[in-house]
Amino acid sequence: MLTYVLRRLLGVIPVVLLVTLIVFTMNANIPGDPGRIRLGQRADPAQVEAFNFKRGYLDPFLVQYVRYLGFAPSRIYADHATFDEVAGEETAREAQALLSRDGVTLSELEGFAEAHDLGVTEFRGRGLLYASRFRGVLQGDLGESDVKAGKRVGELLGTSFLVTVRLALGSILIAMLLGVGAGILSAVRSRTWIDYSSMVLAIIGVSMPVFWLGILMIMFVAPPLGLPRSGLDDSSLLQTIRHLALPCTALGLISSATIARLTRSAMLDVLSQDFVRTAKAKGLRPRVVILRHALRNASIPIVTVVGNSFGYLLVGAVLTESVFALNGLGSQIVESIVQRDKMVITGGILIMSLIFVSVNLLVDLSYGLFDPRVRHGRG
Amino acid sequence: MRPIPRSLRFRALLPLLGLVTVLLPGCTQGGLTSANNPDPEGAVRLALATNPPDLDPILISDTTSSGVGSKLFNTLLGYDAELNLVPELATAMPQVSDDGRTYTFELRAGVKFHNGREMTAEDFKYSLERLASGRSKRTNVVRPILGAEKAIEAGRTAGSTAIEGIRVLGPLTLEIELEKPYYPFLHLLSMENAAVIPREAVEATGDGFSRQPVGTGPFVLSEWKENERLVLTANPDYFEGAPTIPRITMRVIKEAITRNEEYKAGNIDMVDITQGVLPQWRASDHSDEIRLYDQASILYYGFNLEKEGSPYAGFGDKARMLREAINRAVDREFICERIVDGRHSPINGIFPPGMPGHSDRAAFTQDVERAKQLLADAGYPGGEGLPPVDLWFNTQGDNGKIAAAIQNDLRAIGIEIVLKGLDWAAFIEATDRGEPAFFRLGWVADYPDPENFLYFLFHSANKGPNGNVSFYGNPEVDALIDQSYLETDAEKRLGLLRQAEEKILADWPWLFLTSAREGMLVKPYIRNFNPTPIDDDSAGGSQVDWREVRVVPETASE
Repeated sequence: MLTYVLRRLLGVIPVVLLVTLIVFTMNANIPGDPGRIRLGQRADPAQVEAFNFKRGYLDPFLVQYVRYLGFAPSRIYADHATFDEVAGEETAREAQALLSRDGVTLSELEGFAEAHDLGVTEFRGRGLLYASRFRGVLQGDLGESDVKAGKRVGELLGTSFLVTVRLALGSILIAMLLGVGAGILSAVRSRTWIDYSSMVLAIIGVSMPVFWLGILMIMFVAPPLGLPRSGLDDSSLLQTIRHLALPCTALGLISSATIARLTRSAMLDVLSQDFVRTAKAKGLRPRVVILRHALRNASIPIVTVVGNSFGYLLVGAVLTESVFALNGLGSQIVESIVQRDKMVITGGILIMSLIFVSVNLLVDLSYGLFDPRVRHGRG
Repeated sequence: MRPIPRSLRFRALLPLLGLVTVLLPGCTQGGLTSANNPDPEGAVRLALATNPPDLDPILISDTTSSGVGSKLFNTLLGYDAELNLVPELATAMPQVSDDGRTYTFELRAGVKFHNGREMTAEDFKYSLERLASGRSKRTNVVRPILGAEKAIEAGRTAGSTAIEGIRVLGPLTLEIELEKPYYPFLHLLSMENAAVIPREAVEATGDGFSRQPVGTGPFVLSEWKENERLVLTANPDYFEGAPTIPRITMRVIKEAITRNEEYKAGNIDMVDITQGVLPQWRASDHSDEIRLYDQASILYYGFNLEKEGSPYAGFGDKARMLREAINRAVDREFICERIVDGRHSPINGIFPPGMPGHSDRAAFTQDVERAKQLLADAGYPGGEGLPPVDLWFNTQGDNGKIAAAIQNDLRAIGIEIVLKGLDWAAFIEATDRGEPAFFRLGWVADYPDPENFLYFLFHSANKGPNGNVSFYGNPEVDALIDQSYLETDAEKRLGLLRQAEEKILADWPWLFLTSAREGMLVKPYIRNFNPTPIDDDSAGGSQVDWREVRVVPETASE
């Protein structure tokens, strides 16, 4: 078991490398110059170039990639906020003073750099001082937003990830209760009005666009129940639940449809097998037959689809988040794509892929819990 | 048929029951809130369609950030309700030297930053010089100052951005010397970008200053949950006295439908009116809350006056008559009332209503007979012999419908135009190149000064991408505009610009169309909220005096 988990965790590394490489390649090739985006359409071209130089965007693609991972020192220039953190406040002030002096020569800068453990580089005929430090994804640092000045990518994505996790947990809970419940009922009473009506509802659920359902809920469900229409107030658990009730229900209803259909067919399969007949013949109560014998045997496909749905809910609730004005991971990443905030895009997609890998791992591990015949670690 | 086990029947209901009990407290708390109840503590609640990207003055370049920033910061000069320049942190309008190049400002004493320290002239020097740094998005604000070019050049590589022309003459006296006389510089000084901020706050937070800005303004940014909400708290030490309302909360709600529902529910106090929904609001219970106000913008169809082979090009009498004929043929009322639901009004010249310089002459109207006569006088009776011309436009919003209406009006007098719709990027590239002979464009004032319209749209120095895409060139007009830069007397200056406008109108370089109006809904209990033509509908505008805004709950009438 342990070796299985370890092996799977090791497998995450190539996935992360591949994902970041792909996103990096895409980012390097989509139109949109980071400097121009940060400084505006009418910005002075020389200023744009200087920005790109300092952020390392003028370096070769592979250098940028290796630096992003954290295998090469990143440079922090003397007019950059984190410079004094790395170089020390005293040194930073002296460096600024030196750079601000008219007619400072490159050799003077070199002397200063040597004495203070700094680096010197040349850009457009002027010397630039920089401090350097190792950082990058492998050190858990996702860098700084290209668009939002002074905002760390990790902080941005972390906040919205927390919103998304709560939204996804609530939705999957509702989806499971409704979906598995309706699926069992339909299977147990197959070809009755209960079966037909819940499957018709499921088809509606599968085909209803979630943003439309969301709008309907804001207009017609929120007012009579006195629920908030949008936003998130997490000052207390009760407030959080009240604010997330509608978006979770909207998302949950949609996902429950798929789960219900799958549960029904898996249950029908199992219910027609010999051991179910035997169980009934033994005189077991129907509840025990259905929940303990049949459901447990039908659980593998259900767990798989629930796990997948959960993964999608974590990354793909963009429309719901937008309708209900929630600052979730999906909308954060969509916004960064629109704004061409390359650092946030890369970090966001990296987090998404990690979510998928971990949800898949958890689903695989849970098989053993539901079906003792599944064993990890051997063979 | 198998029966459902009894126990299962009940169990299936349990989770639902649990859900309902969780939701119930909500029913009693907010279920009966009336849609016209203000915030119990008297705060004003707004919705933003986007998260403000940056609140550092040197980075502000969009209307949302500038709307929020205007409540946190102050500038040397500002505007009164008629959009005339008035002193803000200066005690009076600046002393101007005889050569028109040097301005001397006396600053107010006792103005405090949000961190408690008193503002001095040094702070202004620091704040303005930051605009030349490599991180600044708005180097253009300081560019007219003597020595600014050198500072901007140095700023790119972390060098000193000290600007020779900015001098501190005393603790509260600031002198600014320009490269050459340039009156509109005073407007640049009243943009949020030129706001005063304390050096120590920037040095403590670095790039993070944009996330936790400190200014002298009537409100303090007390909370900012990115993409979620901002809370602005009244500044008790504001130099003009604390605002009446305790705070402004701004929730980021990207979806227009959700903003509308929150407004209807009474959870926000103002909402922008998005395209196409005005008729629905008019038919709703909220029709009394609709506020339309003039926006300092114009919509026009320009003729390329240098386009070879176009009968509409040039300054000959025939071409001029043709252009006038088109101006007389179009029914602007129809466009304003029927196509854009009253969100535009016909213009009477180049300066839109509500702007300094706007004249009181009558708006352009349709006169089909006169149009036909002009067409005949130009040598094309009934349009005979006149080749069809392509009308280029970008296909956003109502542009296509407006173009079709104009096409109809022109067909009625015998002029054939062919509609050519493009997406914005392709369209603007073509007009910058001077490719279309006839094209749709608009202009929104950067600052409320007629010069902003005349210089960019009609000065021959700006032919092409800079703004004069009609390629208008008239030495007399150029001379009047140039002369206005040297004139320091506001009245005389306005006179010169009005003269220039008259000369341009006589040449009919455009099909003059309409001026837009912004639309908002504002709850009746919000008082003294008076947007000006340069206020955007987001973040409560940037020129509205929020110190005066009040929340006055209506007394129950039943």
